[in-house]
Amino acid sequence: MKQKDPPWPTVDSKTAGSEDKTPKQKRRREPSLCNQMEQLTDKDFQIAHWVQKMPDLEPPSNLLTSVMQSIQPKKLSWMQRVALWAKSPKSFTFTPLRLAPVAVALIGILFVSGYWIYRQKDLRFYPTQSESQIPIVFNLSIPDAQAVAVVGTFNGWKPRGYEMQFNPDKKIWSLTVRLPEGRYEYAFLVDGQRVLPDPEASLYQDDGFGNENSVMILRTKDEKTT
Amino acid sequence: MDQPDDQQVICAVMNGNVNAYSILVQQYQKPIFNLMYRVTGSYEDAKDLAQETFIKAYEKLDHFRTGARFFPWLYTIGYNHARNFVQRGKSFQQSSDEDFENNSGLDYPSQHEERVLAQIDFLRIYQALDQLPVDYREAVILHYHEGLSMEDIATALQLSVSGAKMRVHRGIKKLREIILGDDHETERSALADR
Repeated sequence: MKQKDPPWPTVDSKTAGSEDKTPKQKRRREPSLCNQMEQLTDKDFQIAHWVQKMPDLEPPSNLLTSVMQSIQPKKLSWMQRVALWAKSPKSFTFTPLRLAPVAVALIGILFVSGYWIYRQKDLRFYPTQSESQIPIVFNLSIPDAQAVAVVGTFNGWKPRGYEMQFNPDKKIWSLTVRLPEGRYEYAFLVDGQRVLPDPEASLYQDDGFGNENSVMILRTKDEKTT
Repeated sequence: MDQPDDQQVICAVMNGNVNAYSILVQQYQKPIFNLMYRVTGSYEDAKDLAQETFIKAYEKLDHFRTGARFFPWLYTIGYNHARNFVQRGKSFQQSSDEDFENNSGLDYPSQHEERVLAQIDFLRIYQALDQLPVDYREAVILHYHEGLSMEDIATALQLSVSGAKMRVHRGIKKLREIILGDDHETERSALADR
């Protein structure tokens, strides 16, 4: 409990503010300490030594018992217990054998989550190729365009993954996608700027901004109804 | 002052292991009891206050900051408790030489002559400490007797570190003045007797 044998100079060094680490701090603090604290004399050291060595009174033998009889076990909520567990110091020992299952589990989790993210991305941006879905062929004759894509309610009006291919022989832009049955609005995005409705569509709907979108209704036995 | 496992003991206590608290009581009962004795000068009051301090610390253990040192925190509780006791108007008793007489239960070892001589020095130190203002006395004792760092003294006495340094330094100076004053008095009376 006590310092074993701190000789007097060591005792003095504590009081003299030896905690100052940097020369800058020393330069700043030394004058104030010198001004405020008179240096300890040999007599002071002797007194400090006596204080250090003076015996303690022994506490009553029944103090421990009386304290322990007066206290009850603490009842903590599970929240406090969790917080306490999280804050308490813990030691972990890792060996390759213990680490192997953890590493395998982590790799598995990473692989599954990576694949799931890849699939989500795939579903979001690229046409699905499920056999239960209906194949739809979009065509647009606009030979002077540099790039054409199909946008609609089925892809969130985002052209990525729905770029049409130009057929130089037929001079048309075309794209085949598979969609589940339902009602869809769509249009063609030409050169990334112009939005054109499908001239071959039989239904149109006002988009609320002064333009029209094409409308198609897909049923299982139909290929495409526009 | 703290043993490395104080934190583990506190965790065990907080998890419902009430018996683990006895480790802390055993470890720190002596300095806390001595603090109370210095403040009250009464063995019975010191015992009661020490007991109440440990009970209070147990009840407040939820508020103990993890990673902090336990003894300065406990000492703060004890110190404030002792001061409240004195402020409540309980009379302060100076510890007397009779308290430390042989077979009183408070006596110092005295088998050898050197020890007897040392005992005289210690008694003089005790008496001088009694005359020292309590704030200075506790700073001096915590630093030189209990071996606490200035940071821990600052925590225990609720001071800044520089304030703690000042208390210790001035405390030892005042202690010297008291003891030297006593010495001069003794010398003067000896000369008068002749």
